[in-house]
Amino acid sequence: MLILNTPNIEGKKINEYFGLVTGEALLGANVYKDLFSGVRDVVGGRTSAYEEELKKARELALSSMQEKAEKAGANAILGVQIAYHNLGGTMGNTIMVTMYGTAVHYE
Amino acid sequence: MLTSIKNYIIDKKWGIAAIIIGTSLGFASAVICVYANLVIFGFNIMFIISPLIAGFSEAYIARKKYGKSTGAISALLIFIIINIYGWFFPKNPITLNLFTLGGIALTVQAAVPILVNYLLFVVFLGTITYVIGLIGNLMSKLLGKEIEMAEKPKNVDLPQLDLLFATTTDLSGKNITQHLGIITGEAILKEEKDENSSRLEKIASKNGSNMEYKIGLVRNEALQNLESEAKKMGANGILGVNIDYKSVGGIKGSTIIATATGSAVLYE
Repeated sequence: MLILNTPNIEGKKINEYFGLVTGEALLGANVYKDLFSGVRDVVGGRTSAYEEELKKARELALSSMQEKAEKAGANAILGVQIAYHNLGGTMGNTIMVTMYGTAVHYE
Repeated sequence: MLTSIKNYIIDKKWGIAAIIIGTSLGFASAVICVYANLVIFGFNIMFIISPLIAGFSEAYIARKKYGKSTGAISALLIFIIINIYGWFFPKNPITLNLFTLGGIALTVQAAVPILVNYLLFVVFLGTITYVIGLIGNLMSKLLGKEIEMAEKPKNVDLPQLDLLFATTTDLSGKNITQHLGIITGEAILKEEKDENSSRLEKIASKNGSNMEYKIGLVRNEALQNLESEAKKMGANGILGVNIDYKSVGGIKGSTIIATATGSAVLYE
């Protein structure tokens, strides 16, 4: 499946619009990873534990969106937007990855 | 070899000067405190004041002259010196009580602020939350009320929408005859007040509370609001759709707002 964040596919004709498709994934980082990344905040360096979780969440959201588009009969998603949100106020240890786009069929 | 050391010292002369001035100021304040016998509740106030004076004066001079922080080395030095004095060569020996303990905590805080704040706010609070969660889980298990873990479906499908929604700004192959203007739709998700579950259970089931499902519901509601708005304007399509989520409510932040915006259009 072709996933783009542009409104058109260059050189290709879009013959049907199926409307909105969305996908989201929540990532509840556990306390120990929080502590670890806290240490990293102080001493510097990459927090690979978080990075990996974030990647997992993004892939989950993407596959969930793709699934919905396939169900509608599309073969591409255009104008995709990805956003990362932080839930839970100051204690905030839940990260939400959301994405949405327009499912289309092109030739 | 010698010249490189010399250059190094010349390079850092203001940093070293800041440390020396800070240390001597802190030391002087400690000496004054000892001679004037500034004692509160059997505890000499130098334990609190001297590292603070040393650290502040060092930081001030370092920032003015050296350009960057020297890391409160003098506060650490003074901290070590007065603690050796206080614990090993006391005129009137320090006794361990609430005030001395508080004073020591303050002294350590003044000497190594980042580490202590990290321990206090992140490690300590984090451990407490985790332990409370564990206890809550255990208690509900003992009481025979097991916390339900995601019985509901994980994801919500989009609602049946009559109009054409698109995130793109134009429809290729279709002719847009009229732009009708911007429209918005919002929906709010509040933390539901479940009478049956106790506060402890709520903390314990934080991760299993099926937020994904709830957020899907709010998003659908926002989209439906957007659609009814578009219908009111007489549109048959919505372009440039934007969906956003905001977490509001300050420290506890349990309310989530979903907003959807777009341009209502008429197309053929």
